[in-house]
Amino acid sequence: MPSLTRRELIRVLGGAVVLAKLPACGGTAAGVFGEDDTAMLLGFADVVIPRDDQPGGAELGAIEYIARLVRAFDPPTPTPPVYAGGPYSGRQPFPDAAGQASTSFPANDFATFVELDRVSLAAWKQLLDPETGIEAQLRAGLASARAMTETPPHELSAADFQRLFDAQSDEFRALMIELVTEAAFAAPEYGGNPALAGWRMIHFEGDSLPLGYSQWNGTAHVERADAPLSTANPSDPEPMTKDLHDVLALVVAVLGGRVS
Amino acid sequence: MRKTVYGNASLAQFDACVIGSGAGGGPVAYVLAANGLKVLVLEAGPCHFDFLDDPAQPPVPRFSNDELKIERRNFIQVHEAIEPRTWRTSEADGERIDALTGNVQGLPKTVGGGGIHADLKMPRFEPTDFQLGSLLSIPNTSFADWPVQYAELEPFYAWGERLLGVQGLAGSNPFEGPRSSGYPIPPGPVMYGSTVVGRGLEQLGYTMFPYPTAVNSIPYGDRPACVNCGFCSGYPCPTNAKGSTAVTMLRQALVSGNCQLHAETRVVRLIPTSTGTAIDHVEAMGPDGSPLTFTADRYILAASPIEDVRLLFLSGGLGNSSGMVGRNLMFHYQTIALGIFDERVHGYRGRTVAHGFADLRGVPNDPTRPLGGITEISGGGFPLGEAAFYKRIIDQLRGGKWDGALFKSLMRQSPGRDRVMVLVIQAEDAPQVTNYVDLDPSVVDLDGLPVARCTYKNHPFEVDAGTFYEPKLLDILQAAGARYAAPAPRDAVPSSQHIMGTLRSGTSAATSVTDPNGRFWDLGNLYASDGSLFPTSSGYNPTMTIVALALRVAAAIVNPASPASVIT
Repeated sequence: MPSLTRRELIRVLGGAVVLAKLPACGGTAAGVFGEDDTAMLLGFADVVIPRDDQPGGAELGAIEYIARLVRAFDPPTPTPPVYAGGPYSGRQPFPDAAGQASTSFPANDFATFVELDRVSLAAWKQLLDPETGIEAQLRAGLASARAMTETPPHELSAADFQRLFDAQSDEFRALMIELVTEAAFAAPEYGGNPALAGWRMIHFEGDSLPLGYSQWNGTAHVERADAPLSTANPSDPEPMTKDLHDVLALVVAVLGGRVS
Repeated sequence: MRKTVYGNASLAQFDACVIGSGAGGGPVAYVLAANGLKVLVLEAGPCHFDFLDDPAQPPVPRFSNDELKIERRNFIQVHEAIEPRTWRTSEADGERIDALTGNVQGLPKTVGGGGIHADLKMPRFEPTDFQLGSLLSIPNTSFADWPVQYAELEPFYAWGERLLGVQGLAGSNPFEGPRSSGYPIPPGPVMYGSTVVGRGLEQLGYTMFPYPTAVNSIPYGDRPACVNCGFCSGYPCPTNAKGSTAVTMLRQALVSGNCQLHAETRVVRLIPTSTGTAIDHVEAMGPDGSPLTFTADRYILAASPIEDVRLLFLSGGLGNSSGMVGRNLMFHYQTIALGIFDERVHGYRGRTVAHGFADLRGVPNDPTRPLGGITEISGGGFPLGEAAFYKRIIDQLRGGKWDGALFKSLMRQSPGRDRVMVLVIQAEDAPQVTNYVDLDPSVVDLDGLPVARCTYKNHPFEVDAGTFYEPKLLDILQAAGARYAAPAPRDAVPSSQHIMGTLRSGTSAATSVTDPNGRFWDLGNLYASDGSLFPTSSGYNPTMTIVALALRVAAAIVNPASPASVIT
């Protein structure tokens, strides 16, 4: 996918002036944070998942995901964008008569969010409470980070963001890591993972229904050639590097395990 | 406005009120309704099946291959922030250690209960599992024989397997008890990761077998064959290929005309009669939180071993002349090892667990084979769980500094998802009267009701067995070709979602809470029907035994003199 610079992303997604011109759309617009906080969030998103030959956290939809979540009840609705519907997303086809992918796709049930019951509503109202919930926790962490530097956020370097991120509380860093990874690797109906870029990056097929990984044809289960169930993959899209082997050896030693 | 009442809404008088709609409640509703009794089912959680009670079309679940929804956002699980449980190891810890009891929070609260989230591994217990009171003498434990032995339960096992559609291969587990019939459907396709691990097992002389699971390998009943979508363990099935009690027995009850289900209706108090020898009615909160009252001739607790006890204590401590209500809380003690392979074994495709082995179950009183449990050969999970796993690694390696480049490499090369296979021993947890459920003295839920508190500490019995078997898991993974084999840390907080004990069934009113048929000794019209009845935990997944016992509890209500005569 084409890469945007951070400044371009800020221009598109952040800033009250720009956002005031965007249509309100139930929390999906990034009108939650001001320009500086947006720049800081984008910088931190790229700390969590840095850009390289593949997109980073900002490009993988961190801001859109966070905005959609923290404004799930703005405006109030019995079907906030908290639980995507089911069973199908429409991304995978129905099987054909031979058990392989057909050209027919189901509708996207994920796009219709599920109504909350009393208990879930209470839980999510608490999690998303503007004064104490996720948004407030983010704002506090961002304010703390901005207070640690006199440089405007959009002028900070990747190294600056890394230094500021590591200086924040464990709770804020854990929250950011959780939200950015959710943005990158959850279903795109939640606001992130644009064009499935997150799943493609990690070689994950995503939701698999209705095709699945095997189809009963009346006498046997037929498997997919591109993603087999009972046999080895046809190839490895990204084998483990020596650096990663070294890391795993260290981890296994800490756990008291064995290396062959 | 969403629907919360299912089945025959015109019913107004009930022979039985079942509290909980999971693996313990669904079978009871089925048997009673099939025998003409009018059944009311009250479920605290919401119903995520459209058309669950429609005989003209199959249920349409709101479930999906959605990790965020299921694993992170508690679509079916309890929200621990507003419905916590607390935990401590003993009274010496004070009122509690932590506001949470660990992964036990992950048990679903929804129509279908725990049978919804499970991948429905359905092995039976072994015959000797019912006799450990006689076979073992371990200090500071309360092992007891079951009042119902394997031979008596076997026809109910077979009945349950037929009703659910359990796949498996009779005789493939060399330790299984006698069977009156084979599995109703054959094993499904193998997972590649199982084949890989199987090489190690074969080399070391262990016997791998297709895991008995209530998953359709072929079309069965009115439900389709599983397409091995991968989102199985921990995930409710989007296609109904999983034979949960919700889409089998509970649905059958609802379409019979003899059953009425109220979802989002939470029972908060059992009200006894003036003599205190029976339950008169129950108080509940409806979908909007308003108070409701329900009356029936008899009441069946099937809300889980923890919530059953909580309800009894919220009701003033009913049924507790023995002092045993809440006692002998058990979880399976899990010993876990991970094997990371050079190749991508894609364990996230398939049914999560397609094979297992029982060689590490052990033998009573054999010091060379302590009592462990069946071992699941499990695939890896999905990206969000993988990311959380890597965060823990990075925290440990980098001293709290985040290493995004390493994180990204891990995600792309995927040692923790695409290249991993996991071995999990579901080991026997020794019953102890000092492990119990009661009410937390000050922590309340969203409605202001005291939450359940678990006082629980492992006994050396299961810890030592885990220590004994852990190296054998590493041997297996290495023999299978894993580049890395490592044990997972074992936590003091119980991490198993297999919850058992607390309303022990037995033959004496002095030492047990219910009689052999699940009826309370103290209250003539109150029954329990879930894992709470278990005197011991066995070393096999509990759901098939929960179902078999539940069928028997209901059959004994229909025909106390001959429960087996009710089997169809």
